[in-house]
Amino acid sequence: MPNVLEDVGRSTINHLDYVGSVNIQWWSTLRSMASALPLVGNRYRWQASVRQMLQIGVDALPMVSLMAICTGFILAMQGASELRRFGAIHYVIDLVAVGFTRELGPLLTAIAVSGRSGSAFAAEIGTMKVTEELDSLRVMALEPIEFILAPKYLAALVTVPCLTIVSNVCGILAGGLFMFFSTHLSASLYLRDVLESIELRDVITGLIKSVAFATIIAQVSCLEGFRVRGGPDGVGRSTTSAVVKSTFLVIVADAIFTTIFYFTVKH
Amino acid sequence: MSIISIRDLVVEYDGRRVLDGLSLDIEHGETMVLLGGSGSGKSTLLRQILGLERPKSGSVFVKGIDITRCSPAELKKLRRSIGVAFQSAALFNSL
Repeated sequence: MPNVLEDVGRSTINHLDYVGSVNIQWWSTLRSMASALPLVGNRYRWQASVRQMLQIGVDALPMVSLMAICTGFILAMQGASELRRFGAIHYVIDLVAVGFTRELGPLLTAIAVSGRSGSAFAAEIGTMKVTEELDSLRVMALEPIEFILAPKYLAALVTVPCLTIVSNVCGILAGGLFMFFSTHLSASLYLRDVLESIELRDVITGLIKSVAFATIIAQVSCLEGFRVRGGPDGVGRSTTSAVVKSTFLVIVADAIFTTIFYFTVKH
Repeated sequence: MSIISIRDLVVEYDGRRVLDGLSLDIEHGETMVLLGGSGSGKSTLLRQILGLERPKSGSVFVKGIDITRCSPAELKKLRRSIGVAFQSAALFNSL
């Protein structure tokens, strides 16, 4: 019995320590974010931010678009197969449009970014840790949070909402493609119905989620990199851990946000 | 005055004592070589002098400032006057 209590206590302390570390790192990043901004910040940090934006955002466009198109098509097909029985196939448009702007667009984008960029963040920082580059930076009075994390976080904050919008558009267009092939609904009518079914608050709540997901992915992945111990095997473990933890936390955060919006935003 | 002065330095990793009451003085202009087998604590001592880790007990004075007790801002200022070539990070491969 004491062993069980010890294990529970140790696990609780470890989890609280992790949550505390993420929050302290987030606060430190926010304090050093000014250096990564254009005009007011350091030119080299801003250049690093732009490079990160290209890697996180532009390079991920084909993957995010394809995922959204496939999911939009699947959602429309699955919805149509049930709604057709009730003569309500028209509601597939609402299902796809509202489902993507509120939920699937931000979630799919976050999962794609977590897998692509979250793992890259952890591997890059972890390698810097084991090769003593982080220590070198500290000795040169350069804070790794400002030097490495701030540009990545700024880039994620800018690109993840942009990718979410692209994902929304691709998913909704895929739904339109299905409607055209199954019911010969014209593109103009489909777009009109889409615009009627979604509201500004749907888009805004989706974008709020995407900003929160960007924060989770950047902070958790970078923390995993900073916490690497040992050699190359430690980098491998941290990379896996970064993807698993950030994806898990994104889904948990999504559930929390959806609950909050469900009870606070008037429908 | 010594440029680096270490007094009764004790460093432990997970309960294992790596440095046990080490004292050392390095004068300005003096060249000192640390020799020892793998795991004998050479890198640990350097990390203590640079303030990258906190010791269990003891003091490390660099230019008269106790690096184990100074604030992050003081540490940052002090580090601007220190140059280090690390074992594997002579070049920034990732930058």
